[in-house]
Amino acid sequence: MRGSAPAVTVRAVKGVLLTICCALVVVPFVGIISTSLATRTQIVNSGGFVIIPDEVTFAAYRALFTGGVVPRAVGVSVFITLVGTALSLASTTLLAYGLSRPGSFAHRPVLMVVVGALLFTPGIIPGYLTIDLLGLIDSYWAVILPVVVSAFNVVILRAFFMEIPAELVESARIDGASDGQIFGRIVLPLSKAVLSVIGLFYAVGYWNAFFGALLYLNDSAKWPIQLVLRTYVVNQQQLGVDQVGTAELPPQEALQMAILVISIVPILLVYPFIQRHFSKGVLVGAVKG
Amino acid sequence: MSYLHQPINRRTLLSGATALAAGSLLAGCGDDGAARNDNSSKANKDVKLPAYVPSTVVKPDLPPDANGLLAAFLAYPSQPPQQFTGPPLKGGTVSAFVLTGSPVPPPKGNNTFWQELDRRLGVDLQLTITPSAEMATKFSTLITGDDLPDLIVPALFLPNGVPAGIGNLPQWMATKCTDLTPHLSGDAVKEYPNLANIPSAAWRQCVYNGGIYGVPVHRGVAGTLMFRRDDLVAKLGVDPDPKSFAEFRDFCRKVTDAKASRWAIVNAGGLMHLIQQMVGAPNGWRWDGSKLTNVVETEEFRQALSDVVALYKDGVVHPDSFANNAPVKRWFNAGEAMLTADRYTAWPQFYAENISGPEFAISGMRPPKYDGGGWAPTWQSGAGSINNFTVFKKADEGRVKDLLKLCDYLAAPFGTQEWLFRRYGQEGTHYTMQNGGPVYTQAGASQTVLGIRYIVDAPDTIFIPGRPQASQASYDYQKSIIDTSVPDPTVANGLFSDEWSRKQPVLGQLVLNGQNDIIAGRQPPSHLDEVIKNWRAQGGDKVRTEFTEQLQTLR
Repeated sequence: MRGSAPAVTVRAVKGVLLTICCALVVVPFVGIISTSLATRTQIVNSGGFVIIPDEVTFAAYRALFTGGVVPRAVGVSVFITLVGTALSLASTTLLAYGLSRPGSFAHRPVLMVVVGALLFTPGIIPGYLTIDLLGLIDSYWAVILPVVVSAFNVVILRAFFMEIPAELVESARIDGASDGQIFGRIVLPLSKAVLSVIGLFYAVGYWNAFFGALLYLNDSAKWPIQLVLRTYVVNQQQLGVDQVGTAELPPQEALQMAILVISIVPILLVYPFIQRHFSKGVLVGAVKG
Repeated sequence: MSYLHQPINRRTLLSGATALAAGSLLAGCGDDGAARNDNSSKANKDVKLPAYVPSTVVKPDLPPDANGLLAAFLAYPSQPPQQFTGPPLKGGTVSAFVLTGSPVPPPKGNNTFWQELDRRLGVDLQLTITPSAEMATKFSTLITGDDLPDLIVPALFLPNGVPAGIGNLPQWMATKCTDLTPHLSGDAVKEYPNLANIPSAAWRQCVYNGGIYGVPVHRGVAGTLMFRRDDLVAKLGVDPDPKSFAEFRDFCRKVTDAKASRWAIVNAGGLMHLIQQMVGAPNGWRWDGSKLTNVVETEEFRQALSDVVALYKDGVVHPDSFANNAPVKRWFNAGEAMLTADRYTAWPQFYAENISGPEFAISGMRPPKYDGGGWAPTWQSGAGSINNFTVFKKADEGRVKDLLKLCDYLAAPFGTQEWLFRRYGQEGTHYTMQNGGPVYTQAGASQTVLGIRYIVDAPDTIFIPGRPQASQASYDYQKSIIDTSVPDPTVANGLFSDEWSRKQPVLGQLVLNGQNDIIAGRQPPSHLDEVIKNWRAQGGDKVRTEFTEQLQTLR
């Protein structure tokens, strides 16, 4: 590649393309935030989607947070995400590490089971029956346990562990380290990048999960935020006479957008801290199967 | 029966569709109930429906009639009578599986409405509240787990508003649910005066397996109508009531001004609905005594479609109307369109959300006969005269009586204190009275939407809070159309087709997609032939066979 800068036209075209791409992402995002802050009149006049609010009102957020449903659901989601991610990381790391060591017990059959889980996923009904038999209906564990280990992540992590130079492990063993010490002091510190990426995958998964909650949690007090969000967004066409006479309430679109913002923000806040590991992490396993 | 002993067939294994999976499991359930499982239309026809004893507790401002015209109230009675002096039950727990179309309410712990409801009912009411969009999935797992609540809402709304059953519903009810006939048939219902106040047509739709298997949530038969912005049409000086299709087309052109962001109608689907009625297309199905024809297969449908194509080319339809989840109600409210098709139950909502101030006025546009010469008959609701019905888990007689007492409370008629509480909560906390009608407070709007209104409900009434003239307009419109309105023959005769209950969404979508493709010009009008062919092949013919067999036994 030559060192000279590309022609002005090429740069201009690139600039325009990038601007369009950015706009495709940014405009809906700004729209969501703006609509959540707009007044009823403006929302109706603009056909339901506001880019720049004439007048900022927090009525939608107030309505959501005073009802008691949303704060509670956020709490549930935070709990499920934290506990779930911790459990997932622990079990995935241990399983992947075990599978990455050549001489470990029942290495092949376990690996086949993991790969099998990638290919065959249980249906809704068998999943429900299993949860029911375990007595986990209406328990938060029903949302966490079925997805606690992702075979895909195990495979990625195993590939990463296998790439750690054997010399490192051997030298630690010569120094008298046990398997646990090797894992905790040598392998894990070397895997920060990939662990943070997999952790983020898991966390986003738990945060966004609604289907398990829908199936297994009958008590709506235990619903996570995403399921609550769905009842606001998906049911919009059916807001019928139930909502009659609610003129004092913020408009439905503002409520929906506000709850979208609430559901996106936490993940958005975590992202910058993990982002620096991200490009490195996602490449693991991309070139080394 | 334990689910572990149920046969698993090929379809269960291969199908990803939950409804189908549930259907297969239901087929397993049906086997042991075969003895009582006679869901023939003849057995159902012979069922003696509950006696109809209209309530005299509150006198409506405008009276109902036997053809299905709803009673109307211009204001909520200022001194609502109290029907119940104490709670209908004395302790214990009642569980119910209900659906909701509203955002999920706060849990009981911080829901004063729910707590007060428990107190007034005298039970601990445990609700599994399911968003209607997820109803099919949740219902399948509920049946699979076989851990049924006392009260179950088995029918579901689909996003397009068409109610559908669940595969093998009658067989499932025969095995798992209580036959309420001994408690409700004939004069027996008089023990529950508020249930006796529900019109017979609604009970007809709770009849399965030769018995009464549920309590209905009554709705008017008026169905979908064409709402018109009377205030704006008057301002434009256009005749609001075209007398033929030609005049209607003229109306559409006159009110449309794309430069001013104003169109005649929000979407082509609504036009299709209206013009089919003008042409005289059958409501759902046409039964001529020997042959059953679906509306899609009729010449009238083809005619209506070509007319809608022409109107679409005229540019009178809102240009964004094919967008998914297009906010058509907003457009109508914002005055971007003069017409929108919606259920009559949307009437109060338009007033509640209007931003045009006090002059905002809407009414229903009656379809004229295509070539003029009077009004065309309108279509009754595709759901008949109910919204849904609720079945009772099998239980001993005492328990069933208790549950019926609970339902009797929940069906307290409009105008009573019980109705006001059930729908609006407690005055001051959940609602305030303004202009003769209750208006929710923020707490009321979120806390009262428990979905209990889908367990059982009082007969539907026309009432637009704070807008007596709108209530009058709604009543007048219904009164004008109801006598000549035509029902869907399969609904009116209380037929059940298993294939229809499973395939209705697929078949409906198939027609809708084909229709939209033709209207939007993506496909030529001749594409309809292919749509009909697919419709028949994908289940339409089987549905026809199932319905025809039942209709023939009714002759």
